[in-house]
Amino acid sequence: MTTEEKDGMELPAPTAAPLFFALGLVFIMASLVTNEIFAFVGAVTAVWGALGWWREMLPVEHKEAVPLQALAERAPAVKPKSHAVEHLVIGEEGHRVRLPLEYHPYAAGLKGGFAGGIAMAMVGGVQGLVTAGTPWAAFNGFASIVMPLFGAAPPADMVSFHPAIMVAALAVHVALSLLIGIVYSSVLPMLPGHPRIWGGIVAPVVWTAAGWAAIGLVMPSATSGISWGWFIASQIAFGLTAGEVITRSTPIKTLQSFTLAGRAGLEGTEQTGSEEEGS
Amino acid sequence: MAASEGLSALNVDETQSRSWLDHMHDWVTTVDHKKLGILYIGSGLLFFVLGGLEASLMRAQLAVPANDLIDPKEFNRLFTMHGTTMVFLVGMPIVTGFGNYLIPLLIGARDMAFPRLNAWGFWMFFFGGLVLYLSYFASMGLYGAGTAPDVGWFAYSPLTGRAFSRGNATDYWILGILLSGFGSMSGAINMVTTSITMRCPGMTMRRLPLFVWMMLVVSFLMLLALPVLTAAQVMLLFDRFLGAHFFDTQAGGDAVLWQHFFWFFGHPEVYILIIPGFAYASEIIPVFSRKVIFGYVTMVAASISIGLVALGVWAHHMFTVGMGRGLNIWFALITMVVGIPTGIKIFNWIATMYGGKIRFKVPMLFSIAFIGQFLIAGLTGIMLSGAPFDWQLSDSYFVVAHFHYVLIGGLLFTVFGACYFWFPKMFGWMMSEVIGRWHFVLFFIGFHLTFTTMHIQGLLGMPRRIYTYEPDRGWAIWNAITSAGVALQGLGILCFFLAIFMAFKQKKPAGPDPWDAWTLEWTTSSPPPEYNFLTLPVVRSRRPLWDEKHPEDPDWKHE
Repeated sequence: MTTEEKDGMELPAPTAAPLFFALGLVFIMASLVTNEIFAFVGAVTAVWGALGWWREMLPVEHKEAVPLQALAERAPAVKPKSHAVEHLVIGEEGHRVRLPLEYHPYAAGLKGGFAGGIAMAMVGGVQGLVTAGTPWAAFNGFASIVMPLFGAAPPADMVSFHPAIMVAALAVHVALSLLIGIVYSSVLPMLPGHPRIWGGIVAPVVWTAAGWAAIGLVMPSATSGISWGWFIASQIAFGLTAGEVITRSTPIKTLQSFTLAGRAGLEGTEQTGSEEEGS
Repeated sequence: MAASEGLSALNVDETQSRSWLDHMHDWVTTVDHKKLGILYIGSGLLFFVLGGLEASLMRAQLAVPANDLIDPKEFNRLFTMHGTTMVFLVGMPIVTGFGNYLIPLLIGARDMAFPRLNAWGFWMFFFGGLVLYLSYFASMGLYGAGTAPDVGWFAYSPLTGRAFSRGNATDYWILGILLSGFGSMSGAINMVTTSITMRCPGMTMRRLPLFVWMMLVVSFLMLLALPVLTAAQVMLLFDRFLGAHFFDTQAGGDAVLWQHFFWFFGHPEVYILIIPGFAYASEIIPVFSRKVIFGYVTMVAASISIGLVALGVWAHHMFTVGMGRGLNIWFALITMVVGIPTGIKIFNWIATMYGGKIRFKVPMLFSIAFIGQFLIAGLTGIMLSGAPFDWQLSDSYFVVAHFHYVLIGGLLFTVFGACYFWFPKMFGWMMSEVIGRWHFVLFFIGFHLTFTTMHIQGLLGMPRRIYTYEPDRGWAIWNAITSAGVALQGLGILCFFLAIFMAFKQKKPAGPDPWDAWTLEWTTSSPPPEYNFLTLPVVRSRRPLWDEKHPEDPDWKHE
């Protein structure tokens, strides 16, 4: 038993000085909108409070001994739990935790996006040949998304070849294909089941459904010009090709299992084991 | 030990024989952080009832078109007092109160660093609130009756000039907020000093509970933002009493300057109010998910980032002023940046729940609702951060919906969660789970009826602060739903007070650790003794109580 326990605990003594000091200041300020007498009363009260506060602190801080709680009122000592801790194991079969311990390099995403873009363009070309007898119709239609004035051109222009329009369409198509390829390379390792199904079929269908729902709002004039069957076919061609290229790449370990210092490059990349735990 | 037991027994006898006046004396002279915390929270709830009644009156007026229940002047006073009360006299004291009560307990200290300053801060806040409400009786001078301020909670210039604001109503607004602001600043100084200097052995900054980290960020924000408002208010007092012209455009002053000053305080103030909500959620969600918080370090980093960015976004409240293209772009972009650390937090709370054994107790219900609602608030905030979007919807009910999603859907929900979570610690009695669930359901439905519909009114072009509207605008049905939601919210809040009343009546003992939690406040009795801990704890991890409960697998092995 310590001395402190015998005598009670020393804590700052209660005092009304802060209350009076605050009340005095409030009266002084309130005198601006009430009566000068409040300023006088406030000044006296504030000085009274300030002096009281001063005396609480000097020459030594005023403390009082607070009696200790009765034994019956005290919190009992903490008892260890009898049951074992259940750990969440990363990647355990059937478990909900699906952290990507490995991911595909961004270069694979770029390659996949590029290959997917070519496959998509081929489907677009076939679509043009089948529906309009010329492969350029799909490219011109694509370019009209970013060049609305071209979209209003006469039908004859929409099926003929225009070098400038083709360059614009290719620039947009390549940029979007590469970006979506990178997104695929990041997202595919996080999805359950077979990545080829997600990347090749599910994602294109979801993307098409979202586009179908949104296009009427963002570009009502385009709804009549889109052949949704061909649209889905081109998306699936992109997804299957890009997904195939990406999944063939050699995966890289993520930093999920590294220590903070390891992630910052301050020390080796030793794994810490499980990151999360439950009871 | 016998000596101390004797002393304790004597103390028990004294307690039983003391009059209510003795108890009152204890409360008004106290410098104990726990009692001051309860005083802050209690006062905040008192003002909450007043602010809520003001809101209810406004919604009664707006429930039907062309209503004449309340005249336009009184409506102006109501929205001014409602906004001022809820921000300065409800949000601020409640977050300060929880900080006061919990910080020393969470860091293993016996009190705040400056206990007397703590008491002074509370009384400055409380008297400041009383001064504001005194305006209802005395703003024309003590002998001439009064009216409340009617200049909005932001008190834009030149509306606050003598020419447009006669009498003293605006002066009461200035003085009340000025005085309570001094209280808040002293509280912030205390919380910063306590958190940094009074941590128990082993409580390194990397082991500091997230609650304390976030209150530290809040305290710094208070210290940086509040003095700006205080200085602006003093300048306004000079304008009104000494004939200065800081904000008097007729005499070369600048009304927009007031807006800059006000919002340099006003926007960080939003974070001063909502970050404590993050703090409560960050303590409640892990306990009821039975998992350690996900991404502790990123949570701290996100909190600090939010604090820093919060200081640089104030002028997104001023897009319609005409600041120019460059400033509009800057403030739009920097406002959007806030979404990044806030998004990190939302992901971390969800990741904490993910895979956990979730217990849907009342504090957790409020916390889960908070996540979804705050996400919506954040999304509408990002929408409003686009200057062109803001030009369309500024000063409409869409903005009212947005910030009520932040302050009610975000802050108030977590405050209710925190009340149910820490009430057993504060008073030693459990609150009723059944009444708490009624509270949650009624308030949740009422909240969404009221504030989800407000988005639509805003999109339909209904301006805020109008006291009535014509029936042909297409707003009537939405306003009727909004007002009906207020009634449900009121019932929910009645359940809350009923739960408090029943807790004191039924006296169901809570025990020291009713939630099987892991931070230091749960190691001591409920309510804690004045000295908090008989011996100062020594910690080795962020969850010291977990370490004691699970010596076979302590946290410090993993941190």
